[in-house]
Amino acid sequence: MTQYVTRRLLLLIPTVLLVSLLAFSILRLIPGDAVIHLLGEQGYSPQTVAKLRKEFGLDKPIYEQYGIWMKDLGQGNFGTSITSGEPVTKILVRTAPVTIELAAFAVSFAAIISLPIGIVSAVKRDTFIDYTLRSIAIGALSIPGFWIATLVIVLSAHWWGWIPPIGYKAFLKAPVQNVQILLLPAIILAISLAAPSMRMTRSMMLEVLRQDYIRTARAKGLSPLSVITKHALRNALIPVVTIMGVQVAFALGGSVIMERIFVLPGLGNLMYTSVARRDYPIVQAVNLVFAVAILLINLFVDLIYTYLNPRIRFGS
Amino acid sequence: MENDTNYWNRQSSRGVSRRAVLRGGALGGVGVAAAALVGCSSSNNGKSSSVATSGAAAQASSVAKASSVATSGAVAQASSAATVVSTPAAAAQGGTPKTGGRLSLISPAEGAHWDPHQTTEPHTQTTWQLIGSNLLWQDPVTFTINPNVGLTPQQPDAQTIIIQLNKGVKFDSRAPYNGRELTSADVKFTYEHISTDSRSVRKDQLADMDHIETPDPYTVKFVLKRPSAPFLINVADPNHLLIGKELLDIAGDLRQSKTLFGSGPFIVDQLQPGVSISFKKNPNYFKPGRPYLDSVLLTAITDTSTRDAFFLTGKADIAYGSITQAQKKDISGKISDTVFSPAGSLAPRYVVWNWQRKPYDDLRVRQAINLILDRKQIIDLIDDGTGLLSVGPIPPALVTWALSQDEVSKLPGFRADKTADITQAKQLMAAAGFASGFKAASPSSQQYDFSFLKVATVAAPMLKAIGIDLQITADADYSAFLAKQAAGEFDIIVGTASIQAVDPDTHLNLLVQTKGGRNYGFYSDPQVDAQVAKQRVTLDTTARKAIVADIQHYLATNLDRGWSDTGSGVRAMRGWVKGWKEPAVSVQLDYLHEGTWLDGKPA
Repeated sequence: MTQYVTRRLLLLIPTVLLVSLLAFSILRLIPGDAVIHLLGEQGYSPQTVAKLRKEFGLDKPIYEQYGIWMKDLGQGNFGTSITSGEPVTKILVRTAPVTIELAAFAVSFAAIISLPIGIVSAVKRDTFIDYTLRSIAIGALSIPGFWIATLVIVLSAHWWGWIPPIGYKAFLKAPVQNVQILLLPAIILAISLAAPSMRMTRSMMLEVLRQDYIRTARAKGLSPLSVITKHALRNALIPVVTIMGVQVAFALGGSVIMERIFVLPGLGNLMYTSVARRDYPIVQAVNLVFAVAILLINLFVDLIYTYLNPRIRFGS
Repeated sequence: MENDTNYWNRQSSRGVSRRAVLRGGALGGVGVAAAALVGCSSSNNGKSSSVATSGAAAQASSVAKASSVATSGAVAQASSAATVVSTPAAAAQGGTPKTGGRLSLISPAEGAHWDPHQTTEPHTQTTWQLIGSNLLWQDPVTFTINPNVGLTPQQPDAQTIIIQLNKGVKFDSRAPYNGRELTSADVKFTYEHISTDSRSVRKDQLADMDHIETPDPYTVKFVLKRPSAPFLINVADPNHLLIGKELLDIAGDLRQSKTLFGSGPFIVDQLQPGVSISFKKNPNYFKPGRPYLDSVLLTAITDTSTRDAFFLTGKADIAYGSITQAQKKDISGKISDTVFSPAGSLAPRYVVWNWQRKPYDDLRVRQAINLILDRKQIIDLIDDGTGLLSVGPIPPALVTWALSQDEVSKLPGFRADKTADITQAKQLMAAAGFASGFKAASPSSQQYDFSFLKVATVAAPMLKAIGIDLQITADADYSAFLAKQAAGEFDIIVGTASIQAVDPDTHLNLLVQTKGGRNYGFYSDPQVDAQVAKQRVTLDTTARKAIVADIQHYLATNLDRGWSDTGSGVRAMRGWVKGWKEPAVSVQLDYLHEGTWLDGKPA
């Protein structure tokens, strides 16, 4: 196992390097740059543009800029924001907890919603309950989260004169307020995440429920609940867990819109504004953070397999 | 171009007609009258005699003093060229001020940084107007210049302006200022910083400044390179907030939040990056009794729906910017105590063509586009029929300087009946050899709540009527759009130019001068450049108005771009907000809130 984990961690390095190269180059290939955005529409001379490009090191060839960035990264330095002049590390430390918490809440809610529904739908296969639950899942899959979020804000303001609390309070400082703030965006984000998990859970449960060992368990007189939870679910969960691992990536992506609508000062919001402002150091750093997070979560998901199915052995 | 030359010769030889003098005099008179009235309402604003005595009263008397002392040059112009605009709701001003309470404001997004001299972003500007103070105070309704940190300006000659400072103006009591007194050295440092910083967005406003002298800690002497009509109003720009040198020592510039210290009515209390910033009353503010409010909360909400809901649910006391007629109706039905007031727009809409590309160098094509634009339809579709016609770079809200609506409505392309315009437009296109039209690449942007895209989609069918196929590409990404615009990678751009200035000089310089920063179409006409330069050094207001009018007439004929209209905004605030002198135009002017108070706001 240790050997496997070490190997996977080592494999992270080329992947992260590739991501860093893509993040670095793609942002520079699209029209517009940080200096033009910084100077805005108010008017500027070519001399001013040249001076600022030099100041930010943007006058150097791209490969040289990349080299400098990688060297700084090697020393744990993400650089300085072009627009605000703040160290990027400081900005990441401030914004990352918001997004991590939102994504964790969303994926947890998605699991809480999808697993029972998927199981019930499979057990009550081809009944009215199954059709209803599947229709709801398809509906949730079809409706974009940002639309639900906007409706929640607009309609509750119009009908009840209420809007959800906005901003962010750290869990350790104000746990109740923290949950109040994150509950709604996390649930909305979870709705679209839950649908595929629910459908996967249902499919896998149907598959497992047809197996001989389930019939044997029932013949032995085990209660239906015991058959489903102890024998069927555990075996059905492996692909579901894989899907949920992938969903963390979706949750991180979905956080961009949710954070904007609910005024959450997280990585998603930061990423959006930084792309618009061409704040290269921030965009590159957030991309790297997202990439590393997703890779580590995938590794974690792979390790969970061994718990769910002891026959799976890594490294042998 | 021969015609053009003749035009200018004709205009310059004409001199100033008796009618023009009378008209200018009448406008100036109305301006002064408005200034006087506002002076009265200013005292009403500070009618707080029991609570705050000296501040507003001193200001009101200083206004009168400014009018009497200032005799010539830029000072005289600043007082007599008061721009007449529609007066905001007076109802919100009345009553005896009460102290205490928290005012809740909204901005459309947290700024990219906190340097007030390097950005036009509302969040940063509002923040600094709350915590900073200006040398002179520009009345947000009449745009007259009033004493603030500085006393009444004196102008011994056309190129010298002397301003004495109030004694006892203190900076924030916390480090790095530690409550030290604001002196002439700080004024000098501020204006030199604004005029020399390569990233300063308003350095052009101070281009006429040669140097600043500080004979003593309470005297500032501006020495100009040449006589400058707009200089004083530019010095009084609400975003020219005074700073001390030690602020720049913290991080080299003012971009980081750790530099948010000033000498204004409020001080920063708490900052939640990306969400909100709260301010509390500055106990050492130099105007006794002010501000009335205990605190102010400024929340940055990017999403438009969330921002609207924030006001609709009573979380904000003043809606951000101007609202639409539809929003007004909606808000009226939900919040009965809302006070609505007009907020003139400083953002004329236009169709700008690329002068570096053919066939836009052909006057007939430009005339055809100008004729085919149906301004009334644009106003009806985008502004519910409440906009104003704009024939040039001077927004019609600045009625002292812009051509009158009556005059504009008779110009080709602006007439209500489009029949003759459409026929003529088609004839012009045929005469230019484009009877079957042509395609025009037209990048647009989703920025600013789709304001560019909205006008472009309304204008496209109009242009199609003369065969111009507008190929609109809407960039979700504003930087990409800016890059295309700056590089001239377009045939036509339909957009708006919001310029936060109340003197025509800034609008003319930025929009129509050859080197103007917002001359997106690369228009270049030495005669226009000369006239723009001439109005800048013309200290006599009547003569300057005549030049500005001439420029507008010339542009209406020569067509630097196809100007269209401005929206007619409405501001909304809760009935309990009192004493705030609402800006007459929908830009970030006067967010000092030193005179704002709350009456009956629920706790």
